[in-house]
Amino acid sequence: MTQEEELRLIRRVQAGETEAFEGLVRAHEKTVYNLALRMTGDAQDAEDMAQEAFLKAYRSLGDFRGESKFSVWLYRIVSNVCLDHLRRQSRRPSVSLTAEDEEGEEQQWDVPDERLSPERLLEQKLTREAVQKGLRELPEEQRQILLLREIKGLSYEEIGEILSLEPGTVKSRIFRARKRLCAFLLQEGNIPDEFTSKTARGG
Amino acid sequence: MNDCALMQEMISRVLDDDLSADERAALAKHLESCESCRTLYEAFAAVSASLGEELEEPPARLRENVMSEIRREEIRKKNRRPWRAALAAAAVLVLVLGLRAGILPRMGHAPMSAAVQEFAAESEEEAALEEVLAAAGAENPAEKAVVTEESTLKSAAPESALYAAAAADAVPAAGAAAQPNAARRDSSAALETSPVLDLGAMRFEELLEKLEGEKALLAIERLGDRPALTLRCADGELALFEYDGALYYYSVTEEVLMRSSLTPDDLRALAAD
Repeated sequence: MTQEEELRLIRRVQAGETEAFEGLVRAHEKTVYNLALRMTGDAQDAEDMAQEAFLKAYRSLGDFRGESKFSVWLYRIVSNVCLDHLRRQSRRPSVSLTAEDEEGEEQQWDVPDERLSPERLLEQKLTREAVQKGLRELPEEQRQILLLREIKGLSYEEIGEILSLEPGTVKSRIFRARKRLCAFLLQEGNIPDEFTSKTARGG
Repeated sequence: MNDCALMQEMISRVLDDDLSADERAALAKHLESCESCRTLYEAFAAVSASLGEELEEPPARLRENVMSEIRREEIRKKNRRPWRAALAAAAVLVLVLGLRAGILPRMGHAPMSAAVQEFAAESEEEAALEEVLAAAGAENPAEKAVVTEESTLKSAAPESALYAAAAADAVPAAGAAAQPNAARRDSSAALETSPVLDLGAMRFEELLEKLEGEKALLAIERLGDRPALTLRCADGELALFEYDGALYYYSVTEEVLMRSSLTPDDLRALAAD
């Protein structure tokens, strides 16, 4: 659906044509569902979150003026719905991003052994379950920002709009999220301790 | 060392297409000689691919649940708000019943009966009411129709004519919509001011059974703004909407729009039971 077609659909819904909203749902349900699925790690939760997000979008569709892309507006709703859900669910108190950042920075990327050739990494690590497990280890905001980038390919600017951040901040948070996730995935492969030491070598 | 730290950020950015041509060249050169960074690049790329490509199909019920909930909300909204059209239709009904009962003169602008005045005063849509009554008195060919009996309803409110007639038979003249409780609650004003068919001692559940309703395949906005008829039971009321010759109502128990196969004659028979 082009952006014009989408805007026309939105105007129809705003004018009272309820059924037109189904077109918008169809256009975005896959992304919304997968965002929620990766955020929550649970299919039932994802379904609930996705439904809630669409309902919220419908109820506040009157507020959408078309200055930004509808998807950006929608994904903001999805992100918030998922974050709220996760925070409510979390048994640990929500960790502030800055504290996590400091921790995250300490995970240096180390010189790999021959055992860590890229091919081995790929075949060992990247089952969907493994990646999902790694995602769960990320603090929610890092998870969210990485997913917005990876699932829908949103630009740094669009992500910045959704999360009210500068593109530069978006850039560095995505980088840290990736680094942390990959470090976790490597660890899960039972890499001997010496390779997860904090000294960086070579260059 | 510093190089790698810088390069690592660039590796993240290259996946997001955020590097200039020069930066890409510099990165490529670095990756040629740095295995650590190459591994990082592969890892980042693999994660990116995993997250971005293996998208699951959402279950069909996701969309269905969203749409049915939305439709439900729209129905609830319709049942709550007083509608100009409903009040106008009621005003016309009052006028006609008044004519039949001989309360109002046949020609000219009819003075409003006390009950109707009270109703009008309590209604938010006083302007709509007056408009309709003023039109009734005007020298306009369209309004000459207002002055005659059943044809009045057909011209002013064609869809609800059939059901209004059914109501007119069952409800005593001059009483109908001008009852004081007509404007009792804003929230039910729409229901109260459509023609009402009193079913006496019948219980609401009984009525639902008799309506023989099936889940409707109709888009809610086709029903328009006003109920064609309200059925009043001993323990509740049901608003009926008319569309294309069929009756529709909202089932509270099943929370969906239902279509009844009853006809106006069936309805009169219900009242007679």
